[in-house]
Amino acid sequence: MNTYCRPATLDQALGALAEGDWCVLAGGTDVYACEVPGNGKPLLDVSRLPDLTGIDIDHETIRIGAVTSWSTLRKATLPPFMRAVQQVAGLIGGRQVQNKGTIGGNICNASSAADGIPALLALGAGLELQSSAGRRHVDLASFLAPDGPVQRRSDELLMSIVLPIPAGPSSSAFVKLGRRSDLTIAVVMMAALVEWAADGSVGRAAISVGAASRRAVRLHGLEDRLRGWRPISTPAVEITPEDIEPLSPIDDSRASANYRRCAATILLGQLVRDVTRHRPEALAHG
Amino acid sequence: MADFLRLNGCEVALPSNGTMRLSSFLRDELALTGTKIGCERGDCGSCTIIVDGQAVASCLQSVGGVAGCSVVTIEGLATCTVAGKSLQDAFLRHQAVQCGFCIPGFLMTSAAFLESGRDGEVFEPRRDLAGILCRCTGYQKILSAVLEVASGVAPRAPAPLPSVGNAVGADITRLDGREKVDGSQHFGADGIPRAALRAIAVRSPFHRAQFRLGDLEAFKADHPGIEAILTAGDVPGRNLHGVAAPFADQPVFAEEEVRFVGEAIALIVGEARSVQSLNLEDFPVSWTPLEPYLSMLASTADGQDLIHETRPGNILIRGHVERGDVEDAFHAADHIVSGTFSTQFVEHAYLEPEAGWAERNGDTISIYSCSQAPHAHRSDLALILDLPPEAVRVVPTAVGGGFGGKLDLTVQPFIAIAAWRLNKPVGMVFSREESIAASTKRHPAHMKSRMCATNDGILTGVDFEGDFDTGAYASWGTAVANRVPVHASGPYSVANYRARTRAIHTHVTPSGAFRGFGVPQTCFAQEQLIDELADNLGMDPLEFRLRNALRVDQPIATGQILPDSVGMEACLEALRPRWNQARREAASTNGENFNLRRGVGLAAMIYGCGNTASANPSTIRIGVRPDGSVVLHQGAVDVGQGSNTVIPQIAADAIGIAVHDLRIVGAATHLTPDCGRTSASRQTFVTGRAAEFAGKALRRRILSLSNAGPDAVLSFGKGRVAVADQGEVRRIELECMEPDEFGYVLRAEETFDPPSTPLDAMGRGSPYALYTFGAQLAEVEVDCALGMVRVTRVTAAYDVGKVVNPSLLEGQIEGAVAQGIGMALTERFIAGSTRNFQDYLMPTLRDVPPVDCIFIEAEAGLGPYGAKGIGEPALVPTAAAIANAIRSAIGCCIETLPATPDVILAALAQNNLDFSRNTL
Repeated sequence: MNTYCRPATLDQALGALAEGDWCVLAGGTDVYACEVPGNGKPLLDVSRLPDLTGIDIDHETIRIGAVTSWSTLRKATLPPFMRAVQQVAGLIGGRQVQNKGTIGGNICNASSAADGIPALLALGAGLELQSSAGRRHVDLASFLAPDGPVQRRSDELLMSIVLPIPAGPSSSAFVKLGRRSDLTIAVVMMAALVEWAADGSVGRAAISVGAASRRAVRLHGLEDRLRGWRPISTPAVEITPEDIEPLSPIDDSRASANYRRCAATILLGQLVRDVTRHRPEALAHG
Repeated sequence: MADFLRLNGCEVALPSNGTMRLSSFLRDELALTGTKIGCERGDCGSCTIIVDGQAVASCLQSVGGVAGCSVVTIEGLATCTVAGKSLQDAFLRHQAVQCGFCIPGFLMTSAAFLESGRDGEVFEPRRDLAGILCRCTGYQKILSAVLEVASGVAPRAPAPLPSVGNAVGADITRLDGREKVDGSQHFGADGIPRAALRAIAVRSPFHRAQFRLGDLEAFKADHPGIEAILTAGDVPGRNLHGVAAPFADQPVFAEEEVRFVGEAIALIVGEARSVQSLNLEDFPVSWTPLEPYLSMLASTADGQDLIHETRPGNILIRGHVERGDVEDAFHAADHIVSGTFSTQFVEHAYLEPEAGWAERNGDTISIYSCSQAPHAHRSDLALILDLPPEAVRVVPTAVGGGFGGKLDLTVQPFIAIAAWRLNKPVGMVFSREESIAASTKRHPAHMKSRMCATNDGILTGVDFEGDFDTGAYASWGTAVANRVPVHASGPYSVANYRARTRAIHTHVTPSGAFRGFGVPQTCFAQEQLIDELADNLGMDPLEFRLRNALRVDQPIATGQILPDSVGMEACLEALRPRWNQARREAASTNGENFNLRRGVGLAAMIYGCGNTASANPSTIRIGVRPDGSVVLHQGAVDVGQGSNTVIPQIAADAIGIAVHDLRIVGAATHLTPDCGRTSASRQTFVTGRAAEFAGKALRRRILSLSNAGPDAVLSFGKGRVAVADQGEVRRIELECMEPDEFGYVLRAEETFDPPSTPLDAMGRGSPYALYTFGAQLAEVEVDCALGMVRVTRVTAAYDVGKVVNPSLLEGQIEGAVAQGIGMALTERFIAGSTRNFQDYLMPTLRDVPPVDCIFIEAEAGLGPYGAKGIGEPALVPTAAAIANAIRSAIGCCIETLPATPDVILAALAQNNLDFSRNTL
């Protein structure tokens, strides 16, 4: 028997989660994209809980409510380092899906092709989870177990996604390769965040690749190699087979594993060029 | 918490079950069926509505989640949104609507964007509508309609209503358009009575398996609400159907063994909610999986089991056409090219899943469904029900796209048997997954071909062998095997010719009719070899085609000589300016960027309109009622292509009446005479010709009753026909005449069966009465690093004999080009693994480029006012032209479709081509 509950307050929601086995419903674009929404579990609709909405920016962090829709994110005025997330927001399904689908739902559903995750990993996202027992913080990378389900206890609710604002100049980019122009599940996708040093070289880079492993992964080797690279005076960075060693792509109907490796190599080149092209004006002119 | 929502301006109480999909609530509880369900996974956008000003996929929306919200559906579009009415009018004026099933999604999304504007975001239709799928139109006319409203420019003036005698050739807005933009038109699922029982099929999860049913009575007893479980034993008549009667082999319910994933073994009928919530994993059946043959190679290997006992080697049928001496030609030739090509299963992917309902009335039964073939369905259903055909009424609902996929029986036998057995109305709606699993597909082809020419550029020999995977049952395998050998010559004069085909069974969903019956696959192979031959000769591919193009006095492959309407040369000449220009542009940019290469490709085609070498008559009835109204019985099912408009245009001119003054009775087996199937590009030609004959017969009758000359002007109404001739007006008083059995005082009924002859053992004869000619020019960009191909422009030139309705004709070509792009680049059905529109990648709005259409009118003496068919010709050359464009970009043939990135990169590697050293 399907049941549906839309708690009016956070306390009610947490109380319900503490007592029962619920399928948490946010935008519904994953929960309803199957034959039986919730696979028979009762639905706890948190999509309109005020505590889970809103985008708050302070000096150090951007806090995004878990049920913020992709459209809201796409249209919001955000600092330049958030560009990758805003790019993602415009590429998930059609507008009729972006208007409903939420950033928190994308994380908790954690499909291997979840578009939001590579960008959020690159941006160093942290998560705030709350239960009636209290609140805990966890970084996105450890929330996403390499195999198996995400690290959300059934009594917990994902409250918000917290992104540290880079101290210095920075830029980010997202690249997705699908088989058609729109409505496409990624063959491979990736995101980068670069924090630039004052001399225009790469101070710190974070790059993650999705749809080429069970979960999106960071390319620490490439990140290290990029550190100190100064686009204005040194030649372009060649992507090497070692750079993509952390990937473990599979063959499926969308592409072969080999193709994914080959495409990842090419797209990483594009990604680095794109994130460089979008660095702050002052740095671009040395 | 509010228990209401504001729906189209009125408060509506929400149901207690908040988990229900909003789309189901709107349709099933509130009977607002204008919101269409195409996939129930958020992949297609057809069900889009407006919630608090935002476009939302209603299939992904819980009803609980819209409590207190304001919701607008297509039913409220005109009154509850600022731009709704303008959008509806623009869609009609721009002929943006074909089948209409996806249209509510486009209208609602556009209206939401035009409504809001409040968040400062500018509406960019090309970007903001890109998440909605359309399978008919190719998106171009939808885009132009929305752009007009969004930009606020003065709306395009509606085409003036044509005067009497000038309907043919006039750009008339489709006559059934209004109900397609306001949500009131009923498709297969929309008219199911609320009280009807619902049926769901139990289907095989295996490609091939023996099965044994368990205790069905116990299952029924355990599940309250089930009224019956029907299996093979419950079929009143013959548990078989098939479009080619002598080959009928497909059971309604499999008996003992299933032959494809998705084959039905039983039907559960009961109260809607109980049936829809059943968990079929508990259904009592035990399976013994057997080794399936999933390819033609596997099923034709030595010693394999027979999929059908009467078909040795698992071969359904062979086709053969031969003339001249092929071996001699190849010995004598200066240039020989050859190749091996293959294509995959392609899904029709009409946005409307199969649906309908049936109702028994005593000794008769009525079956309402989205059918492309009402009379043919009646014949098969009568055999299945063991009833005389007169006792079976087949009434097509509006059809949300067909493309050949709704010619075979789908829901019809299930609902008919259930309604007959239970004596209650029974409805059934396929899920998208079910539709993809169980409906027919385009035949995969494996083709070996060679061609030869002499140094003077004459194509002297063609030798083609093609195997076509017809899947588990015959369906249209016979039609493919017979049609392809007539068409493998292409639109060329070839003295020495041999084409042999086989339709082969495998354990896959049956392949059926899909826009072109194997000819698009054949064209893909043959036209690449034509290009290669031109290259070897050092000739421009367009000039080589022109030199060999069929002309009026030359025989086609079967020896048939066409007396008129061979416009191939004119089509190629019409493409020449763009061909030269595009090739110059490509050559200039290819020098600069090695990685992103542009290519230009051409493909030409011939296509026989109507069934191959067999009768396919259409009959049209026109009657005048005592009140003077003129009624056209138009039995050609409109699946979006426009026969509801084109046939009246022809009939009106034949009678001498304004087309908008005709009353139209739509297809139904008890109301309209048989107009045959909507297939084989035959309706404009065959039914159109019958309409011309019937219209003229009615006119002759009126003229003779009034002793008037041929140029007399008729006016109908007020109980009379007034006949004005040479300044004198005579009146036929209708009210004093005796009405006939149909209630008409004047009536004409005419049949047209296009003249054709059977083919002899060597394939000689006149298999079709007339042929459409055409060619397409595709321009592409190939990313040689990623193997991605983008089609940037298509130019199409067609000899259609006579343009009956220009914008409907363009729409056929624009939509076909979109389907051709899918077939060429992204679409592939894999049995057992392709389940829905997430897995099956048809082109989206931004995958389809602008299409320029050029029409040649080489009038056909046999066609109505000279007209020929376009439905399939529009698609036939697209994939071939794209393949040739890729070939010109990267320098090697494309041997398999779809040309996925893996295929492109493999082709580059195989030919040691590397354009990627110069990185982006």
